[in-house]
Amino acid sequence: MIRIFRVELAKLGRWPAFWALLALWATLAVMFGYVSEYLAYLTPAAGVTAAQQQATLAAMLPSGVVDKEIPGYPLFGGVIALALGALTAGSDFGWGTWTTILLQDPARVRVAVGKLGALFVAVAGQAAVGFGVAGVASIVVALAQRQPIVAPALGDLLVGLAVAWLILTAWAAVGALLATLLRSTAVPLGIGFAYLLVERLVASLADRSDVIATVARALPGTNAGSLASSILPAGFAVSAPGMNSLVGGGEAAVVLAAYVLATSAITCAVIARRDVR
Amino acid sequence: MSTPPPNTPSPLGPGSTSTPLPTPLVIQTADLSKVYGRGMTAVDQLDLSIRHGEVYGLLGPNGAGKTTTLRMLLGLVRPTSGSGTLLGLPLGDRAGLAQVGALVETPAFYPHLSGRANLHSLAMLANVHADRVATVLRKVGLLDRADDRFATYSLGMKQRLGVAGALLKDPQVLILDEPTNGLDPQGRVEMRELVRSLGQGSRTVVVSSHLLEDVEQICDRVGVLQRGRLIAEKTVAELRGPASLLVRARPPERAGEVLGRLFGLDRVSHDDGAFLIDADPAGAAGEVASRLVAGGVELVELRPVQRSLEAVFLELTGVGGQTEEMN
Repeated sequence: MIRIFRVELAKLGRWPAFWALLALWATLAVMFGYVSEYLAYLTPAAGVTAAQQQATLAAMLPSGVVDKEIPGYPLFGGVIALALGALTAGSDFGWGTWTTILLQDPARVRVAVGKLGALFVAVAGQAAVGFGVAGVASIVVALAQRQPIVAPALGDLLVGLAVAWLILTAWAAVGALLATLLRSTAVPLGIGFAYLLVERLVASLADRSDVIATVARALPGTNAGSLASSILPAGFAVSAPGMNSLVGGGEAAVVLAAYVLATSAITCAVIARRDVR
Repeated sequence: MSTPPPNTPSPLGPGSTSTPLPTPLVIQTADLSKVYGRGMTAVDQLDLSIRHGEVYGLLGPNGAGKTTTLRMLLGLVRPTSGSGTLLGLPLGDRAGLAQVGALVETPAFYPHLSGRANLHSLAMLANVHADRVATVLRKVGLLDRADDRFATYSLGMKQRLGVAGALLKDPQVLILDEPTNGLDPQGRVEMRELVRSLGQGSRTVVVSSHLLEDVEQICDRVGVLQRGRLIAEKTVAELRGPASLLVRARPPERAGEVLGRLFGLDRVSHDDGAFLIDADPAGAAGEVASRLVAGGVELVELRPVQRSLEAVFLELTGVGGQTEEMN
């Protein structure tokens, strides 16, 4: 298993598409977390009080990196992770490399587990990149505004990373499953993105019906938003898309972990059983 | 999971490992069938027997079931029914597949990696020492372009890299699906020579092709597939049958009389101004020449002829209007 894991990681490390996705994610993280906020701070709209302006600045400082960045993971980060999962799993069908791989190592489940393992490590990289670029941006803001540079608490940072990784891993696993089922890349991407929109719609209607709320609480996006919300300080108002408090943090983590395990198991089973043509 | 020691090829080459072959038949199938969705039968009750050390050709038009057969032998596709063994082990058994190298259909590699990096990845997967990569690259003549990205390779280079990948394990059994596909004439000649050289010694090579010329020049024995069924399995010489003697002479009426008297009318046929005599050319040529001359006939042409594999193939498959490529 460790051999396919290393091969897959090496492949990802030299794959332009992987770096393009990471670059896109980094750009999103900086643009929406810092550039737009910094512009709002520098050129406030009419009616914005000085206290609100100071709060905007305080949220952008290094000590607030986790709280500032984590709301971007459930939806925007999820989109990137889903794309990464679909591209990683689907490209082997597009290139025809499943045959090549299985001719060298015919242990299909071992190969599938190794490939998924590499994908989940790559996703950890995505989680870290988000916080990394946010950290750099926050330092730039602090220097520009002559504010003290205070690092976030290590515990908060590790919790933030773990939460981000679990959210992204769940979406990447869904993307990999879709690509495996459909043996392609484009169609799973389309279905995945459409699903994200539908799920947002369902979540937005959750307060209008108990049945819809029950359904929404079982969905990965809802649980991702709830898990991210659960690590924010009490009273920390966030209006970012994908954030919600429908589910408790613990339950959300368990549901997301279940999604990772279930989708990975189905992916492995499909790869193990299906003809490679 | 424990990691076995690297699958280092024996310096003595394939077949020299300590694992004895449990049967002289390297590949054997019985009633092997594959039916895809909607009842499309790709392979129909196939009985194959491929011997140790031979170069075996699977010949058939596109869609005859060659690739599906190879995929079943390699554990990539599950048979719908029937059974088979590879190196004495059931089809799909990992121990058997560990001794097999294969190129199936189009060579498929990561386009953004170099040929060398691709082979290093495969070597790692196969648990083969990395040194083997340079050896196989040299063997297929790709060493000078090994560090270029796979996406930049020509079709011929891709085919050669595919063969290199198949050779990584220094396999006892080498399975090549249409290895000359898409190659230019020079590339085809080189690939045929390479495959032929790989089949020397104790290695068993299975080559599928729809190109009669390939099979004729590469293979010891041929299995002819049509619509998933094996309709013939013989050596190339057996398939072609014995050689005949071709005679052109003037006047043809008189020549026909002489030849009919000599061999009997049932062994002499006449077509397009030439007589074809069903007799061993080496033994009969002298007698034919002297009798014709003695009978006052002018001998224009006298030579041995053998049916082309193409003619045999058309006869076996009943496919008309085909030329070299049985598409």
